[in-house]
Amino acid sequence: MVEKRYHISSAVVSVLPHAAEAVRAQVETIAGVEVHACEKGKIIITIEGDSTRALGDTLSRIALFDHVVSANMVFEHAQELQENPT
Amino acid sequence: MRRENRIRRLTARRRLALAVLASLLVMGTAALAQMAAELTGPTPPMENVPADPIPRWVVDDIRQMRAYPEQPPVIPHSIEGYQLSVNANRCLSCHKREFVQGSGAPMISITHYMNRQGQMLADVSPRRYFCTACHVPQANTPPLIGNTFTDMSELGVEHAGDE
Amino acid sequence: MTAEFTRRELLKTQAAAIAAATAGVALPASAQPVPGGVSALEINWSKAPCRFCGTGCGVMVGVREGQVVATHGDMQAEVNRGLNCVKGYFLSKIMYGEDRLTTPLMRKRNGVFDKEGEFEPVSWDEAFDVMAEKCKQVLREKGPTAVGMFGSGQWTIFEGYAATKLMRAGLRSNNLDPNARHCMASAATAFIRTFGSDEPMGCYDDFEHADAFVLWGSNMAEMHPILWTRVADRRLGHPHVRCAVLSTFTHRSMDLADIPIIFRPGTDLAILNYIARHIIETGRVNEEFVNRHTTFMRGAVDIGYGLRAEHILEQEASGAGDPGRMDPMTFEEFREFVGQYTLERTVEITGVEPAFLEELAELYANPEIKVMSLWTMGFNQHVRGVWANHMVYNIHLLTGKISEPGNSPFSLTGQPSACGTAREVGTFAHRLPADTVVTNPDHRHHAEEIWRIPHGIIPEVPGYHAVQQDRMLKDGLLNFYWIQVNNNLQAAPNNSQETYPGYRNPENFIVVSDAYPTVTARAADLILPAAMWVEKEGAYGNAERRTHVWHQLVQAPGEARSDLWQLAEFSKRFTTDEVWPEEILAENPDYRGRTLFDVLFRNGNVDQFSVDEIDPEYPNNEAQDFGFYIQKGLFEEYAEFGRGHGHDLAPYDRYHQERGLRWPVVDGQETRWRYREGYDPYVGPGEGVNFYGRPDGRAVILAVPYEPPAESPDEEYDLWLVTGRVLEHWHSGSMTMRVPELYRAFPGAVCFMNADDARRKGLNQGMEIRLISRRGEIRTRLETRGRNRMPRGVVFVPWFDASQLINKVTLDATDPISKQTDFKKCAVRIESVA
Repeated sequence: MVEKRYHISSAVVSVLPHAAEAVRAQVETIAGVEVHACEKGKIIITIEGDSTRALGDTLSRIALFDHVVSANMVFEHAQELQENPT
Repeated sequence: MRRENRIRRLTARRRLALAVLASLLVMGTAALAQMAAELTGPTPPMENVPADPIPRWVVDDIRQMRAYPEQPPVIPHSIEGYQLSVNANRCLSCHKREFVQGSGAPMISITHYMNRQGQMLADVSPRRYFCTACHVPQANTPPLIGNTFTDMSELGVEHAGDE
Repeated sequence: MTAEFTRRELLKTQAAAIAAATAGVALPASAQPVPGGVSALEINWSKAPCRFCGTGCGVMVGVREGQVVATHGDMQAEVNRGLNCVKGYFLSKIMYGEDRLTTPLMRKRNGVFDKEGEFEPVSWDEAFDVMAEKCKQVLREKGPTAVGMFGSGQWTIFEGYAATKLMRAGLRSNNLDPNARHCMASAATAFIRTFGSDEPMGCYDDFEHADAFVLWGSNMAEMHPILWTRVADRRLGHPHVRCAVLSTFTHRSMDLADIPIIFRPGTDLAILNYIARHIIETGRVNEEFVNRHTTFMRGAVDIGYGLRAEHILEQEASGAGDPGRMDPMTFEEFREFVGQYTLERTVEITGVEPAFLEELAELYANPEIKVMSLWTMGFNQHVRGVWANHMVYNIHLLTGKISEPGNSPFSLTGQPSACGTAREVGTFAHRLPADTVVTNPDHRHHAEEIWRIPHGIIPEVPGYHAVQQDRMLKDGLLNFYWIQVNNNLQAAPNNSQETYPGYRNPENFIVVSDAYPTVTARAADLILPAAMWVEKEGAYGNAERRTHVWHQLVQAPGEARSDLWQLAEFSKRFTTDEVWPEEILAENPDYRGRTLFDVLFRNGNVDQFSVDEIDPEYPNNEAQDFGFYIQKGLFEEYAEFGRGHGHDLAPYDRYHQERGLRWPVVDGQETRWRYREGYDPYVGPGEGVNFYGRPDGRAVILAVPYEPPAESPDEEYDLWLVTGRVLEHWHSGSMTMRVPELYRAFPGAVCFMNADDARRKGLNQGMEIRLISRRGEIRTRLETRGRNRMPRGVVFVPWFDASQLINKVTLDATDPISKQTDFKKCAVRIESVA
C-alpha cells in the first residue's frame, strides 16, 4: 500500500472575452489542468497535483497569462489516497 | 471489503430511522415521552433531573469521514487549554503548511489562504485565524437521537470500480 | 479502472461544478467523464440564507433526489464570502432529526379533546376544527383581548406579515408579540426614540473601514462568528486597528482584545456616561455636527423593573408610571449631568482599571479614529437596555462618528429575521409595518387602506408583550394562544412560576407549531407539525437591512406544513360576521359573510400574481394549494408600506436573483449608509446629514443615569447569574442538538464558575451542583475551565439544554421602556448535590 497525497482544486479564470479561446488553448497545455467550461469570459478549470504548492504555482502561472484578468481558486480538497488495487 | 461494510452500516441506520418515525406516528405521546430530556425537557415537565457527568473528549486521532465534501473536519483530539489569541495559535503550530511535515498533522485547506476577494495569500488569511469557529472536538458520547441525513453517495451515484 | 481513479474523477467533477456554480457558468455534460453520465453525480445547488443567527450568511444548498445532501458558504454572498461557522456548515442536517413532527397531535381522552388527555395523531381538519372552535368560544365569551399569538424572528417575512394581518385585521387583537421581544426590543425602541426609524444606519461594510471595534456586551467570536472573521481580518491584517471588549466575564472575544474590560454587572451605564464626559471635558465634541443634527433630552429616572405591578420594586419606583418620558434640555445641562461620572467615580462603580477606561474613551474622543460599536444581548437584555442603547448613540453623536464608512454604532441581531420580520413587518404588540404603530390613528387608517379592509377594524390599544402574555395566561385573561417558530417555555424568564402555569391553566387552549417536539410543544394542547427553512419559499431580513429570498428546495416530511400555510388555512375557518363588529359590517355590507381568508388574502392584492410566475425549477406548495403566488402577493402588498417612506424594497422577483439587498432600495440601488448625503437617496443636496425619521431631522442625545439592577447578590444568594449561548448551539438547541456533530461538540449545559470561588465552597470541576434562586433551581455540572473564565462572584449557564431549564432560575424583570427581559443579572447560590 502506497500512501500518497492527492490535491485537487477548481478555479474560475476571468479573461477578456475576445481572447477566451486563445487563453483556453494555452491553459489546456498545462499538465494536470483540465478545462471544464468556457463562456461569458470565464474559464472553469480543475488543477490536480501532489502538493498545495504545485496547485498554487499553476494558478499563479495562469494568472500571469496575457488577457487574464484574474484567476481565483474556488474549491480545494486534499487527501491521503490509498492506492489499493481492487 | 471496507466499503461494503460501510454501506451495510449506513443502510441499517436508515432502517432504524424509519422505524422511529413510524413509531412516533402511531404512538404520539408514548413516543414523545421516551425522548431525551435534553431535547424535549424532563418528564414531568419542569422537574429537576440529574445532570449527566461531563463526557470526555474523543482523543484517538482517527480522522472522521466528512458528511459531505464541504464539511469542516471535526477535531479527533482534545483542545483543552489551547491558546488561541492575537499572540499565539496553538492549532497552527501543527496544522500550518510549514509545520505539518514535523507534526504529521493534516495541513489546513488551501482555501484558508484566500482573502475576502478570493485572492491567494502567502500565509493563512486572518479571517480564518480562529479555527474553533468551524472545527470542533467531539465528546465521547452517543448522539441524543438519530439523524436521517442521507449521504450523497447513497443516492444513486454509480462508482466505477466499486466491484 | 481503480476505485481511486473514480474517486478522483468524482472529486474533479465536483470541484468543477462548484467553480462553475460560483461563476454562473453551465458545465457541458461531456466535460464529466463519469459512469452513469452527469445526472448520476449532479447536485442541484441553490442559494439561501442561513437558518440561524442575524448575521444572514449566504449558503449554497445542494439537493439530490429530494434531499439536502450538502451545504457550503456562498462565495457570492457579500456577508460571508464563502465562509460559514460550524452551525452553518451543518445546516444540511438540521431538518433530519429522527423525531421530526409529521402529523398534528392533540391531547385527547375517549376520542375527544381533553386538556388532561394524551397526545394522539389527528388530521389537519380535526386539528383546525377544534382550534377554531376554541378560538371562537374565547372571542364570544371574553372578546379579542383574550386571544393571542407569540411569533418569531425566525418567521419568514410572509409569515410574520400574514400573522399580523390575521391577528390585528382578522381577529382584531394586538396580542401579537415575537420572541424578538426577548432579544431586540431594547435596540428597536432606542432606534425609534433616537432616530425616529428602526434599524442601523450603517452596514457590514463598516468592518473593512473601521480603525477600532468596541464590543459592548457581545461575544461575537461565538455568537456572530462570521462577522468576527471580518473583525479579525481587519484587526490582524492592519496593525493600527484596535479592539476593545467589554463584558462581565472573560470569553472568546477577549482573545482579540487590546483593551479587555471586565465590569460589574449593570455598570456599563456608568462607563458610557464617563466616555461622554471625557469627550466633552477634553474639548472633542464635534460642535458643528451636534449643533446641526442633534437635540438634547433628559429621560425619566427611577423607572422600575418591569415586574408585576404589585412587586415592591414597582411600588417604590417614582418614575414607573411613565418610564419613556423625555424632556428637552440644553447642552450645558447635559454636560453638568454627565459631569458626575468622573474617572474616579466610574472606577468605583464598575471595578475597572482606570487606564483601560481612559484608553477606551480615547478611541471615541480621538477624531482620527473611526469607531464601530457592536452590541447584542449584554445591552439589550438589561433592565436599562434602552438607556444603554441611547448612551452609545450619545457618544457617537457627540463626536459625529455616525452614518459614514467605519463610524458606526451597530446593533447586531440574534435571529435570522428579527429585523426583516419581527421589526420591519411590525409583529410587536404595538407596531404596524414600516415603523408605524397601532396607537396612531393615521397609521391604522393607512394600514386599513393597504389591506383593503373597512376603517375601524385595527384595534388602537397595544396588546400584551411577551412577558405580559405569560402573566395573563397564568392569570386567566389570555385564553387562546398560538405559538409559532419558537420554544418559549424554554426561553421565557422565571418559566416555572410564570410561563408553565399559564400553558396548563384549564381555562386556556395552547397551540404550538414546530418542527420538533420541544419543551413548549409538549406543554401544549395541540401541536402542529411545521415545514422549516428550505422546505418552503422564504424571505429573511438580516441585521444590516439586507432582505434575502430563497426558493423551496425540498418537501417537508409527512403532513408537516409551513407556518404560512397554517395561518392562511386557519383563516378560512372564520367569517367576518363572527369576528368583526356589527356596526362596521352594517356600514360595509360588502364584507358580510366572507371568510377571513377572502378579506385578508383574496383581497385583490395578495392574490394578484398567478402560479405561472413561479420558477418552474422549484416547488411551491403554498402557492399550489391556494392557487396564487401567495408569497409574492404578500411581499408586494407589504412593500407598499415602505416604498417612498425610507423603507423601499425592490420588486419581489429581483430578490430571487440577488444575494440580498439592503433597504431602502431606490431606483434599483441599495443603501449602505442611511442619513448621509451621497449615500442615502432620502438626504437632499446640501443637507449633509438628515435624521429624517424625526420631525426635526435631529437625533436625540439622552441624559440618563446609572441605576442598579433589579436583583443583586446578597448573603443568601451570593452569586450573579448570567445566561446566554454557546457557538455550537443556537438558542434552545431544538435544531443543533439534533445534529450529532454539534451535539457532541457541546453535549450539555454546564455552570462556568471561577475556580477560587469553587474551591472556597468546597466544589470541584465536573461535580454535580444545584443552582438555586428565589424562583427555582436546576441541577448541572460545574466547569471551572473551558472557554469562559469567570471573575469572582459571577457564574454563566447557557440555555440550550432542555434538561437544564436555566430559566426556572432567572428573574422576569424587564426594561420598563422596551419590556425586554434582563437575562444577564439575577442572584443565585450553588450547593453540591452530593
